Amino acid sequence: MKQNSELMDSVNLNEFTNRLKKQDNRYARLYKRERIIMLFLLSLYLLIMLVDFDDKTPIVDIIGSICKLFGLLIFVLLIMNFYKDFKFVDYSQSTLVMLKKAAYRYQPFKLKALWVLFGAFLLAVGDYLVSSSVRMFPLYLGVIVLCVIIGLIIWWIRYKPLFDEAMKLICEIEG
Amino acid sequence: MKKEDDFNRIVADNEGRIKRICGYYNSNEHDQKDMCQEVLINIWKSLDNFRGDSAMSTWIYRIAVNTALTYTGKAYKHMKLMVNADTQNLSSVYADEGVEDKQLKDKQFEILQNELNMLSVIDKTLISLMLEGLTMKEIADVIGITEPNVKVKIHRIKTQLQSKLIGGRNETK
Repeated sequence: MKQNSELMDSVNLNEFTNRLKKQDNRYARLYKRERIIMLFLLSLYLLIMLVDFDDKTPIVDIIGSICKLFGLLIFVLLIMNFYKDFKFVDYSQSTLVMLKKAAYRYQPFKLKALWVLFGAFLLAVGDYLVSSSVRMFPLYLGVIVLCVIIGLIIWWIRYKPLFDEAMKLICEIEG
Repeated sequence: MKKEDDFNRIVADNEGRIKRICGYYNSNEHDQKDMCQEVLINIWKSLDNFRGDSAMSTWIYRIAVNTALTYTGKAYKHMKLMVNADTQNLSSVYADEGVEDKQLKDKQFEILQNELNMLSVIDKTLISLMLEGLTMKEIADVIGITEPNVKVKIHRIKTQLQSKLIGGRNETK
């Protein structure tokens, strides 16, 4: 092995690989911890739900709580999925594939984001079934609209230039 | 230790390729070093995905080229393609390989360097891979388009460059 080569000298490969390994472990731990926290919160909610329920609990309340649980589960799974999309970019794919994946990552609306609406819908339905009230509906709707607006502003500033460039390069390669 | 050993071996075997690609896109040593580090990081990250479907050299070129295109420290729209007079395979883009006159050669090289920098980002990438001596099939594999498509694109770039070089030669005369 050409341990004394210039590139290795300038980068100090041993120290560099150690740093990379540490970084890998840090990400793996962080990802694991996040999953544990989210699953713990979901389990906690499930536990509270089960403790709260007894023989006299109306079936509508049980269905409502299950809807809420699934709504939260959808949010957790979506967050984990989006995290994975952004964290693990594979640079060893062909340039065109990598650019297409980048364009997909940086597009403002993704089809799978519709699951957010479904999750929010389940939460709202769950809330309605448990409390027999639609007073939370405007709140859910307001939160979603606000999140969409904030998300679009962030996208416009941070990701639109990347998206535009990726699309331009794709057109150039394919054109 | 296996990943570390594989990584060290791959870097040692492909050091020249990585350095040359980084050299094509950065004029100063500091930027070259930064980009080399970025390429090494991406090799490390992608190592688990290497299944041997393509040659190791192609795999390395993909990572190096993709890193160059997404290199965060650079405004890659203005990315320059740096070549030296002794860059291997440079003669393949000259209009007339048999030019003996030193002054004419220098003039042609100057024009070539300017024209290379005026190419689009993807054209620069294609030329850099051609200068590396990759076959059309290998370039197609790196970029992700068909071999005939690569041939057409490279032919177009070479014709464009050569017409400029011929124009420059006539001006010098």
